[in-house]
Amino acid sequence: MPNSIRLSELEEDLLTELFNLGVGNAASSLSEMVKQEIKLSVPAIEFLSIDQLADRLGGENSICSVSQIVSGPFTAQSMLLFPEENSLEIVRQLLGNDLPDDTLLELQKEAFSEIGNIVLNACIGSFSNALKEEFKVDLPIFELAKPGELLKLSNQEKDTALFIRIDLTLSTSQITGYMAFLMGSISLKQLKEALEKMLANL
Amino acid sequence: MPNNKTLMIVDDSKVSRMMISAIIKSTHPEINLLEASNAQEALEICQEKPVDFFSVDFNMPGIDGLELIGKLKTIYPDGRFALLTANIQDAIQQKTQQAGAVCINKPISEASIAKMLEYFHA
Repeated sequence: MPNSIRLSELEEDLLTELFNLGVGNAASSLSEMVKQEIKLSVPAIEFLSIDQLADRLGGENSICSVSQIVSGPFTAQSMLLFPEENSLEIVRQLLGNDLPDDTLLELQKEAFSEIGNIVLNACIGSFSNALKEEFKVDLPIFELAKPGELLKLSNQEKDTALFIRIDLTLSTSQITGYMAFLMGSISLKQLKEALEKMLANL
Repeated sequence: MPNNKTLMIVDDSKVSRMMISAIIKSTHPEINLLEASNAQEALEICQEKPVDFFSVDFNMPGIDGLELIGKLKTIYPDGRFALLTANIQDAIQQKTQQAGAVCINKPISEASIAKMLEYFHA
C-alpha cells in the first residue's frame, strides 16, 4: 500500500526554499573546487516507489555515487551522483591537469568522496542552521554501480521514498550530475513535523 | 634549524592531506609536515615527535576531530589547533570555539590554509 504521508503545499514550498539555500551553498563549494560556474536546477520533490527511483537515478547506466546518512530531527540518505564516464574529469578539475591519468584513477575514489563530503555537508549544514537543529553526518561512502544496485546497497526498504533531486551542471566542462535526498516513511513524518514547527514560528 | 615549527595534518582523506600539504609546502616550505589518517595514528606519532600545530579533520573513522583535539591538548597544552571541516553547522563552530580551536571550513584553498597558518603563528 503506498505511503499516504504527503506534504502540504506550504510545507513543500518551505522545503524547496530550504533546499535552494542548501544547494546554493553546496554549489558554491563545488564551484570553488572545480574552478567553474555551477548551474542549478530548481529542486524537484517527488514521492516514488523504489523501482521508479532507480529509473530517476539513471536506469541501467553505471553511476558514481557518494552517499552520506544524515540523522537529526529526521534521517535521510544524501547522495551526490555523476555519470561514470564524467567522474574522472571532475577529479581532474579538482586536482589539476598536472597529474597523469593513472594517478587520477588511483585517487578517483578518495577525491570523489571528498568532493561529495564537502558538497553534501554544505547542503545539510545550511538546512541544519535554518532549522536550528543539529544533524549527525556519517562518513561518505563511495560506490560505482548501476542505480538499482546502489539502492540495494543502501538498504532502502520503504515502499515509498521522498526523492528530492537537484541537477548540477559544471558550465565549462559541460558535465551534469545530481544531488539526491531519500527518506522513507518514518523520516518523512518527522520531516513534516519539523517543517510544521518552522512554519508555526514564522 | 631549531626555530622551524612542526605541523601535523590529521585527515582520513588522502586527497585532503595532499592538498593541504601542497599548499603549505608552496607557501611555508620551512614548516616540517607530519601526516596521520586517523586519531589513533596521530596520538601514536605524538608520542615520538614534538608537534607545534595541528590541522585536524572533524569527521573521521574512530574518534572525531574535536575529541582528538581534546586529547592532544593534554599532551600539548601550548599547541595550536585548527579543525578543518566540511561540516558548516553552527553547532560545530560553537563546539570548536569551546574546545579552544579555530574552525576552518573546507573546501581547502590557499585562502583557508593561509587563515589557518595566520592563526597558528599569532
